Amino acid sequence: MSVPSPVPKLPVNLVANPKLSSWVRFTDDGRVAISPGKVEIGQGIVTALAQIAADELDVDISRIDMVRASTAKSPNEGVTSGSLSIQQSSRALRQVCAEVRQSFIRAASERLGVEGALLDIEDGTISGPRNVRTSYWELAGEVSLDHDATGDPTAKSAAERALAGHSVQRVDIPDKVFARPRFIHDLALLGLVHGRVLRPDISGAKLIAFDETAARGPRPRCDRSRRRFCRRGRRQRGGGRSCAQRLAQERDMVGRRAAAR
Amino acid sequence: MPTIRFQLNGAATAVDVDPDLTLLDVLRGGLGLTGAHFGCGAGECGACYVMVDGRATASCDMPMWSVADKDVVTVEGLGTEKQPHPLQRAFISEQAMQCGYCVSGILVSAAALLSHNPLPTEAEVRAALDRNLCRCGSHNRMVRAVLQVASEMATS
Repeated sequence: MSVPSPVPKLPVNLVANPKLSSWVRFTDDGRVAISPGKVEIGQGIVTALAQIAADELDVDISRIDMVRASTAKSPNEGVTSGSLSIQQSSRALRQVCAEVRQSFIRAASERLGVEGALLDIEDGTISGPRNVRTSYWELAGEVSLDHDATGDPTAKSAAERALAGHSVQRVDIPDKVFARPRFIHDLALLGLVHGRVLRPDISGAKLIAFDETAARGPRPRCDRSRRRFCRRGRRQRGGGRSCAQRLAQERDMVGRRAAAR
Repeated sequence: MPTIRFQLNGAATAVDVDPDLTLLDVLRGGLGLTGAHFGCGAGECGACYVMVDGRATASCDMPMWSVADKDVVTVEGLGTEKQPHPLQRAFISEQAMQCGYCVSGILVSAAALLSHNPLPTEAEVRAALDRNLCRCGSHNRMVRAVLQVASEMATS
């Protein structure tokens, strides 16, 4: 008889990166920094993760700053691929946020002298009966998140979530529309060097000499005079020959070379 | 090195560069405008489009000597977050992209279209954006965004 494998207490990516503070920080300017180890490449995951964190922490999504993944500082969540980002990262992040919320409810309960169950959080402000109130940011100095996740508090049920499952505006789009640096190509790191692939004009060519000075000069431009246009108005390269003609010619040249050897 | 003078986003600009450098290399390099992107390097994909004298033009294979005395507008010159171009606003409201690498070029193509044809048909929008490749497949949303701007401009 097979024994069902025990359900792991913590999501896999949280086991690998258990420290709460590596995922969530409350910053002095009244904002929340969420730091996932997955990369936004246009799939919208950073927005989805922000929705999930906002739901669990009870803060407005506009208060959340999604920190761009960095090898040095982010939780190591492995590669961003295989449609696994939400499945893996969000389970970890949701649990982290549930634990963070619970820690702050506990601290608020102590400070305000009100039972935790009577406290509520709205956009980061923690309040209770008789108008007692504090906030994540007021308490941030006394609540350390430099400890590992326990798996104890349970995250909200689907019915309790306000944002997850609903479309919101993607957080990465304004940067892209207003041309603020968003792409790896826009980075200029200290000591950055550029490589260039130099390709021969035909396949099968062998390198017999190399002119480094020429390679360091301006990037060679495509020769417009050789361009031709096909019927649909699209440019074709290679002097108007069809692909088949060009391939045949290249094959012919390689063949002739082989024969000459 | 010769000095090449041109208008860049409305400002008189002078650069001392090798005249064989491409406009894109100069924009992204010395001038620090990284909005136009390098895609194919052969004027085939549209990621590097800028407006040159009002026309959407590939900057990746445009030599600097040919830019002299021209009027160049990059995506940075279209608008800012505080004062967005109507197209930038519409691209946000339509959420018209995924990775966004092509978007600068597409905004430039669309802005050039609307500047000489303020009320294009859908077919005209599609034709104007046909030279811009978008591998994510966001063209339909972009076409909607451009048509939305055109109809707003027509009614205002």
